[in-house]
Amino acid sequence: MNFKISKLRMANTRNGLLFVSPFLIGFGIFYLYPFIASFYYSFTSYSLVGESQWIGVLNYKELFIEDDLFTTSLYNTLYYATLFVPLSLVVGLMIALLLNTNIKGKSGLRAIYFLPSIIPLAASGILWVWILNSRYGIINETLRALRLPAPRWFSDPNWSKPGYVIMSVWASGQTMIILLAGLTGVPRQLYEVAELDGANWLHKIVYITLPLLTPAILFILIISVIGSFQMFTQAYIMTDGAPANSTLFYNLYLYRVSFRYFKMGYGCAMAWILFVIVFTLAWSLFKSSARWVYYGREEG
Amino acid sequence: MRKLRKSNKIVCSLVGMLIVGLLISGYIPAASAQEKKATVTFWTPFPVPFYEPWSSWVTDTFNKLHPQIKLDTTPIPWDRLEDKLLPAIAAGNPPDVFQFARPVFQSAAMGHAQPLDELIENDPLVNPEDWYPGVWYDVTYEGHVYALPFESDSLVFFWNKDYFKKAGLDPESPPEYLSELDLYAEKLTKKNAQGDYDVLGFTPWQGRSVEFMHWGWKNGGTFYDSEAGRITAADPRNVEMLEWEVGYAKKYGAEKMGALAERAQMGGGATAVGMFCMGLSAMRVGGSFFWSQIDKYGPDIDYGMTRYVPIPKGGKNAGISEGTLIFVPVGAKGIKEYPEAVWEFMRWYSINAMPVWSLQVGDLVSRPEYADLWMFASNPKVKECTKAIELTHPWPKVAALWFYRDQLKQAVEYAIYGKKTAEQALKDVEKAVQREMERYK
Repeated sequence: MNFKISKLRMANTRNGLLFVSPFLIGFGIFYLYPFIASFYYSFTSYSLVGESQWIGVLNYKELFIEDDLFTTSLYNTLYYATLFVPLSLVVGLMIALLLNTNIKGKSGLRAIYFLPSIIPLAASGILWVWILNSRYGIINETLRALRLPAPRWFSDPNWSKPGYVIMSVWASGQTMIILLAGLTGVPRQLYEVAELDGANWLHKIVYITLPLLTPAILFILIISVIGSFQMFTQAYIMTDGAPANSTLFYNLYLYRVSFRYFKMGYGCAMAWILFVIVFTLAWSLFKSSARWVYYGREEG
Repeated sequence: MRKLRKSNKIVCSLVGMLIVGLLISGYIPAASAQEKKATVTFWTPFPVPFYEPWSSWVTDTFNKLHPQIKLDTTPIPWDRLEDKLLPAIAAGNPPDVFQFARPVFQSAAMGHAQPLDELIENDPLVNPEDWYPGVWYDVTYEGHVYALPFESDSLVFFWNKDYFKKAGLDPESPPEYLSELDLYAEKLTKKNAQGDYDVLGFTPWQGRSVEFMHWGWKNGGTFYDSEAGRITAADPRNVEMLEWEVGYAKKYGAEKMGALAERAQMGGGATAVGMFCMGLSAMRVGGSFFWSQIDKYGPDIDYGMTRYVPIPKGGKNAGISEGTLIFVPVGAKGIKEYPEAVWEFMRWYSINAMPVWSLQVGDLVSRPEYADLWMFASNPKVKECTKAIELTHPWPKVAALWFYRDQLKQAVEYAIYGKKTAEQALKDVEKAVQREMERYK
């Protein structure tokens, strides 16, 4: 009897594995192998042609000690992430709250605010080169009409990164949609109870809406931290690092190192450093979540 | 039921006859023809979309002239060329012939290109002295020849004659020295009521002179000490020239100058083409290919052009020349199995097809023998540009030349935006390139 069961289980396991094998094989060849191989190559000097040479931690040493552009690109990316992540969250939250009220044309407005996030990155990049054009861009025209100083966005190393942040916030309709979904999940009776207790709109947002949105906020934070470290397409199309390397983001430099100078080993080392940074950030966000994310169960 | 079966039989037999027929008519003669022909595979960045007929013209013409060889041409966009070649070499299946940017130094040093010395020695039709010396210099590395040249370009100075007249300058005499250039630039610059520029006289880091080396050379500076194997970017004469560029940034404001350039920007490399063609800059150092772009995009602009780009007092003429070349990638099968066919194509493409290309698109011929032909010599613009090849300064024979030039571009930006002093910026380049050179040892 036992024998029969185990035979059945074996057959089931085998069939199961066979059914998932297309994924397993694909995952192994296209994800797992490159993942492991890139770790090996990060300790080598490798230019695609010819054999790779084992050079130990030399790539890492050069990155941390000698390469100024590595530090510059890391700084640029951190600068961008530090501005973009909280800003996109706050703006997304504000729009979501406004679009959750009972106004006319609500679904139309939702669609409008979501639209920018589905425009192809390359297209929106070209568009924003024009929007942020220092002389004739719509933003500077408006600023000048209001008699405000108009920054020379992509011609000024001090304003080029904020330019990217504005563009990315514009395109973060995804955040708004996720928060909207979260908002619809907040039970109405909580608000009614609060109103009976004399709470105003601010009280309701701070004490009811925000705590109940924390799971969605955690998700958004993790996704946007990862996303902001992956900044590449627009930077490659719009400024390619200029002016004065002020928009040389980490991935743009990684690409240059690997596919312009063909230092694959060096590129792999950079990729692994990026992985460690993003992993640590995501992990610490996750760890901290126990203290501020509310999952709807009462703690005893 | 029976009817159906019958019709099935008919269909089956018809299909069978069709297959047999196809085999007889198509496959068999094709196979026998293939046995005779040697197929040469060729990857080229030409045509870019504007010149669509080029790759088909090359293929058709060569195949007609050489019935025993089959040329198979694949056009690949410029910026994807290396991305495609390297994996192909790594996989052991590169094309037989590959067209790439001049000079060949890095491809040779990294082991992507094969030496061609023997083939050249045995071919009386291929003589190095038939090319401009500067062009041939670019296909050699460490005593070996690695490629055959294709077309060329050169460095030329352009000025807007209408602006010269309006500013009270003689439209027929461009500035000769930097001191004159600076003075003219000031006179030609126009501001609007808000204090923004409408026209900039000159921007030293724009157009083709985004490359810094030629300014250094013009001042007698060097960038590489080949005997000591040392990078010399921070040569005081180079520093002096970078400080001269910084002078422009300080006087006119780098951000403000950039803002004007943005007006002509399309989110890519089109900036500099646009500025002069749109009448936003009065003088410009450009490539020899630039006049055809002005004629196309700024047909109303009355401009002059000269091969004598302004130089510092006591300096010398020293231009830049680039273009493309063709080489045999390492591991290519054609050169082992049917070297005659591959070489036949390379020679034909480099010597016979090159002038046709140059004539089509306004590029320069890289062999003096063609320069005097009426189709090139009758156009004064082409003539001036071709003569500019003779003023070309050789590139430093450094394997990491791309890296070096990128580093210099960045150094110029650091300096003009005041992020580093001219000397510091060039010293940092020296250090970075020296370190990069270690990779090639």
